[in-house]
Amino acid sequence: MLNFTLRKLLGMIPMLLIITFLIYLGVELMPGDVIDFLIPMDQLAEMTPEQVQAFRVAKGLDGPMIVRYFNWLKGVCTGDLGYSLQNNMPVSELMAQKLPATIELSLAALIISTVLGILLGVISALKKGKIADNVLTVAGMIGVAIPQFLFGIFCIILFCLNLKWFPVGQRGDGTLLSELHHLFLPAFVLGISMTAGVMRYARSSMLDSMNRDYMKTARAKGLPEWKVNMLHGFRVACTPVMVLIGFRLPMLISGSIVIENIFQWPGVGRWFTDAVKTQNTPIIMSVGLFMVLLVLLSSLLVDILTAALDPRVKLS
Amino acid sequence: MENVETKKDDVVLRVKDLHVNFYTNQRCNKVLRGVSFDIRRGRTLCVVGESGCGKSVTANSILRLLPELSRIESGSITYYKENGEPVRLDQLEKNGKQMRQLRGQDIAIIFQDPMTALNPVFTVGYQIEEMLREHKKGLTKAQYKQEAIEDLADMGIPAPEIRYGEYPHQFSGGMRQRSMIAMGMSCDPKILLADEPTTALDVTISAQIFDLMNELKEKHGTAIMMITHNMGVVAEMADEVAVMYMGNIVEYGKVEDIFTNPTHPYTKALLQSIPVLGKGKNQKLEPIRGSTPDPFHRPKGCQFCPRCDYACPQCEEEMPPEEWVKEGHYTRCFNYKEVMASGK
Amino acid sequence: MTNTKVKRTALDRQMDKIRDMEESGKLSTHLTNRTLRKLTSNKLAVLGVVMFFAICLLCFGAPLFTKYSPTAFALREKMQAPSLAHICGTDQMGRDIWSRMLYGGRISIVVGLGSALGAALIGVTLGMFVGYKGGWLDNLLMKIADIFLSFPQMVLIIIIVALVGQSLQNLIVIFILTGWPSMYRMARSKVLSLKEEEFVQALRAFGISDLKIAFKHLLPNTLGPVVVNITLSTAMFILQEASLSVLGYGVPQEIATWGNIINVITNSGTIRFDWLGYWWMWLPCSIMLILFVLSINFIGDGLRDASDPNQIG
Repeated sequence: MLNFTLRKLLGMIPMLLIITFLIYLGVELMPGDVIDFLIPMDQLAEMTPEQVQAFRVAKGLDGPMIVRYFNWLKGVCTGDLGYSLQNNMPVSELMAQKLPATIELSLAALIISTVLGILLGVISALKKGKIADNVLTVAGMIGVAIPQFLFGIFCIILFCLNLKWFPVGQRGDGTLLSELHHLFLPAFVLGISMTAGVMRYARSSMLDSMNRDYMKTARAKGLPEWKVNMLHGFRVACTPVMVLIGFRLPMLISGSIVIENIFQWPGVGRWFTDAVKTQNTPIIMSVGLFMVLLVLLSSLLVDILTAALDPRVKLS
Repeated sequence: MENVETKKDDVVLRVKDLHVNFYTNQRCNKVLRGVSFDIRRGRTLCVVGESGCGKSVTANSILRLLPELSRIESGSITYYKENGEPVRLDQLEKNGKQMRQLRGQDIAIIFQDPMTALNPVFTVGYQIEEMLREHKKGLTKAQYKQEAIEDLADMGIPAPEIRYGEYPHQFSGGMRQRSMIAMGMSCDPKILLADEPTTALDVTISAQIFDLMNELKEKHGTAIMMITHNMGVVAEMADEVAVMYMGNIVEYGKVEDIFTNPTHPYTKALLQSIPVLGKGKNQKLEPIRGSTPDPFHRPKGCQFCPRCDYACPQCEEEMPPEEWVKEGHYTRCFNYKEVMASGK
Repeated sequence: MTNTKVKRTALDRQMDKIRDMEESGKLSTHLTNRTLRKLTSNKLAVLGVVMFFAICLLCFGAPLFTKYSPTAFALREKMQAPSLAHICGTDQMGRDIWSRMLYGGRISIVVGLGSALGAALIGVTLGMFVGYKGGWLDNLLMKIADIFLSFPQMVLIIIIVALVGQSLQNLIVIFILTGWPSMYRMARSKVLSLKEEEFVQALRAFGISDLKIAFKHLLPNTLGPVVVNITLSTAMFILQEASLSVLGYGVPQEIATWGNIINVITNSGTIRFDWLGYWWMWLPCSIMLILFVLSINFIGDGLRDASDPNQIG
């Protein structure tokens, strides 16, 4: 297992290099000069070309792109992610502030969607064809049809403004209860379309498992129905559903960009969109790196989970 | 109160006039149309017939393991307990407490493909223990493990302590089937239903499994009902034979009677279509003409009529009733005397 | 005696009914085409088709349903609640919202459907042919597809939009660019599994060219999942267009799209709480969007169920 993990991790490095290079290239090719975002227009008009050049050098913005890219790479390896071009704060510090918020949000959404999705999917499967199943199926389809931001707005109107059950956005103030109170609604909204997807998949996985021969064998032993369904049916059914947790994490990161805006959540999502608008390269690179790393790690997670849950699979 | 058949000598299970319908796809498929037979203590009943004739459905009906969209329409399944009242299995609640108690403990079943019948994510030892824990309550964890290992050893599985902790996919086909049998026999059932237990195995392994089953019969007095489509297996294992065709038992009797003196055209045709070892390459093999009818477009009268050499006008109109040729041997053919007379 | 009377349940009564119908011979004349039967009996799919065509009719036949132009603004009539003159009221520039919904729907639907078809065209074509041939081109394309798929979609789209600027055509191109890899992978995996089938060996033995094998023989087999994928991708792209508009990265604001109508209540991401009260400016359009995406999902689901050979029909 360890061997396999190490090899996979090493294999990711070329991919990471290519992708970060592409991002750097992308930022480089963006129209406009980053200088325009850093120095106000009128000030720029007053500066001499030498002053502008000195400014460039000071900010590390001169030289061919390849060199700058490698400098950045060097920095990453030593833990130096550069400085925000706007306010000169070290990116690593800013990252340390904002990253946990995004991870917290995404993990919460992952947990909510997985637990809720599996629960509802299994119920749907057990009551196949009956009212509960039909209602859940249609609810699931509606859930996938609503854009996340819209669902967020609906929830805010209903739960925050009208019912006043939850605060409107922002993070909590440190106490566990406050944190959870603030976390729940954005996480729920972020996970809603995922919940629908998980529910549907759990349902079909459970139905498939319930059709198998080992269910009949379990009944033939005299086991009560609930044991047959849960111990045998569910245990086999939840493997493919859990395994795909790996693939769901990146989707949540993607969605968090929008949700963080709606709920004023202080994570990397909003930071990223602002940085793109102002061509704040170090931030874009760092956030991009983190996100891509996460996607690659998730596929590794998928492989590990598969081997852990299904004894028939051996990691090669 | 419903009639309960009175016990005759060593009958353990009596099925009388069983009708079972399947209701999938919004259609009604009459799978079993009046099936009757007895299973006796210490004897093997072989149920033989082509695919789709209802053999497996019969076994599943006994243990009420039929799928949801099906039901027993009429007839009776009576289990004669050793000490106690006879039980009408068809009238028990399908997955109720009584039925579940009987499953595994009094009547056990083993299936055709042990690879799919065993759960792939649990060890074999765990799955055998599950059976033990359900019916033999109150033992300690170590005792359950010990018993499970002993059950594996009894079925001839080498190194049972190691095999106990392994998964089904790590076993060979023969060993898998042995562990299924170990699981089935772990609570000493009075009746063992075997649904084509060796169809998925090699011939040499099959022979071992059959030896094993005969041993069970002799040592424990288990009554065995073996389902198969192979007449060779019937010749080898059976004490009694029930020949099934399209949802009916068309002939039922002792194996010697059936083989030497078949009274039903279908039985006769089956025997004639099998090569016999030793008879040489010039023996006449006669395949049965025609093919099995579509279950939704069945012939009106006798189901075998379109393919029968002895058919007469009456056969097209009605299904022949059970006619007792002699004690313990019945047939469902109007012209059985002709069939008997025409000899080999 | 250990007898218990068997209870008659609702299921029993249903079965009795079927049995009686079967015995009187009424059931053998049913629709025999399994796919057709499954489709029409799937009420949701039928509903989806109806909704889909209704909305398409409204949008593409917009002049029939509204007399206003989507861009004509009349500042004196701004922010009016729904009335007989304006069914859905007016927005902050005095424009009639209903007409904006209809004309905007045209754009959104075209973006969604067009991108899905474009992605499918590229992805499936490549998948079929290159996947069938294999070799270095296949490896290269797989690596490229992997790279694309390694980005969280939003991140990728935002970067490219910042790169090339916002415009309608650009958005469609970007969607196709981010959408083809998954189509490619799906088609390729189908082709790989079909490649091993014996009929392909037979075709090769007859000397039929690879191109012909890929398109004439293998393509029909993959059409099922491809069509389902197209419908579901359309839904996804329409949703993404709306999300991008909310963030400020979507189609330029001058052009009416569903996303551009709804994003009045956000200010490049953050909610404008004071405008929430003007519900007609965003709610009717949201509902139309949701209904349209829902109808596509119903249809896609129905197609998936009908074409899946593993489901009992």
